[in-house]
Amino acid sequence: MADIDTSAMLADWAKVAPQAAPPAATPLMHKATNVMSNWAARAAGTGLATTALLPWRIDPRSWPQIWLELCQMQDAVWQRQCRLQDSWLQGWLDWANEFRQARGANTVSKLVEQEFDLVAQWHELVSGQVTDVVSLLENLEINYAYWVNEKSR
Amino acid sequence: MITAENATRLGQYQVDPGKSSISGLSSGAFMTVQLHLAYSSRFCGAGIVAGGPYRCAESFRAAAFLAEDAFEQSAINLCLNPLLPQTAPNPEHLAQLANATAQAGEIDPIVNLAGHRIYIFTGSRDDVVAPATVNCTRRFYELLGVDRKQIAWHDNIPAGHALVTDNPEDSPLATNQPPWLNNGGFMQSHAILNHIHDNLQPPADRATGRLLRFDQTEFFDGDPRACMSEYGFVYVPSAVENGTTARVHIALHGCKQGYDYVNFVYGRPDNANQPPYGNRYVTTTGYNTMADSNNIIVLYPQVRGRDDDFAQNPDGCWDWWGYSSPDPGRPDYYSRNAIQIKAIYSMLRRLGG
Repeated sequence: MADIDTSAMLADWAKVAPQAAPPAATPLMHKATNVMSNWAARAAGTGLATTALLPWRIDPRSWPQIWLELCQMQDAVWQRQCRLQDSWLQGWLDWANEFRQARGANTVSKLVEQEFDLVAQWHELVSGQVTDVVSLLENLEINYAYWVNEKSR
Repeated sequence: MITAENATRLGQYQVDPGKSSISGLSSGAFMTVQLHLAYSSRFCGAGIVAGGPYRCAESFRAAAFLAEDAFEQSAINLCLNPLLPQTAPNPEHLAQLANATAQAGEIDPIVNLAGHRIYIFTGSRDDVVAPATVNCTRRFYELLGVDRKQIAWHDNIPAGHALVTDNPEDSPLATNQPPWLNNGGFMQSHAILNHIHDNLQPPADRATGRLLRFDQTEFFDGDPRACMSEYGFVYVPSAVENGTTARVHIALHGCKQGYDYVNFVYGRPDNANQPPYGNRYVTTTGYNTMADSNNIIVLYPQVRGRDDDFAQNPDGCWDWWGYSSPDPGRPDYYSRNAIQIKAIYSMLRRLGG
């Protein structure tokens, strides 16, 4: 068998293969960078605004109201957390109940679908809970930032 | 197959000018406030069910670098879900914004509102739009010169986020989920119309007018940025079709209540299934029976969900945070220049209002 001229093959290939483009940022990376930048800037701005509420910088007569509102904010977050936990628990109970049930399946395809449905429901519960936690954290962050900006005016 | 090209064209009727009204639920309520202010000379009152004050989404510009991100953050976290009444929208600030917008000529003069009647409702079990926000709407209208006696404020019914009906098939009263129609033993639409207009007749036992489907695309030139559906609906009492002078009431549905709304499942529209709620808002909320006995034309503009480069609106909401604005940095969603407000106003003018 004759030797294959690999160098000629590579030369031909190079003529038709596109130039390797630099890897483009994926839309997800771009979005993640954008929202994290927003978060960082907001955190910095909120931190600065919070210094305006330090005890030695504000009228002492406003301390009780400020402390009261901070406690109320904490309580509001706690109550929302409790409501979320109640709904998560209910979700898991419903899933467990479904898992235990012996539903009829007359075909193999239906049986397979039922099994995958359980997996999909599990994923949905987990992703829902993660989203709930992130939403609550973001809600607290925005509410606090807005509150402290209004107070420091 | 009926296409937009051969759907009914919205007709013209004998309408008493300046006596029209408008109401809405949720995003429809936010849009109600926007439209009410934009064209207050055309209306005599408004009904706001679970809706916030004007330009509420602009409460906290510092929430993000980009204006559109800041508006969305404000909308979700301050307008819908404030942790405290102190972090709910500031009605004094928003009233100032409204006055400035009127002075800039972007909406009708605020003085027009003085004689209007406003119905404002928040369910005490509403988990979607906080009652504190709806309370801001009440204060907002007071600051704009509407007398307290003209504002019907309701906050003591244990309703979830919904328009209340007396339909047995609707959800229990305290429910907070679609289709946002809850059975509370009364028709809220009737209460709204009765407050806005004087001496209305009781609703007809059976509506005898016509519910028409019209081509909505002509009112926004089919521009996808509008996020509006191909068809709108209008109920015309038979007496009005025969020439009796009418008033127009614009009824704006909430998120997910448009006739062609489909759920987004894992981020994709579930086009394999039919719209889950269809045109229930148009047919079962009680507006038509009240309209029938009082010569009121009920206009039902429709908005649809989309989540793409044109608009981030997967839930099919009316625009109250700027998604339809051509320039997010200088939004117009609240003014006469807004694509949705222009479209709905054009429909009102076509009807004769």
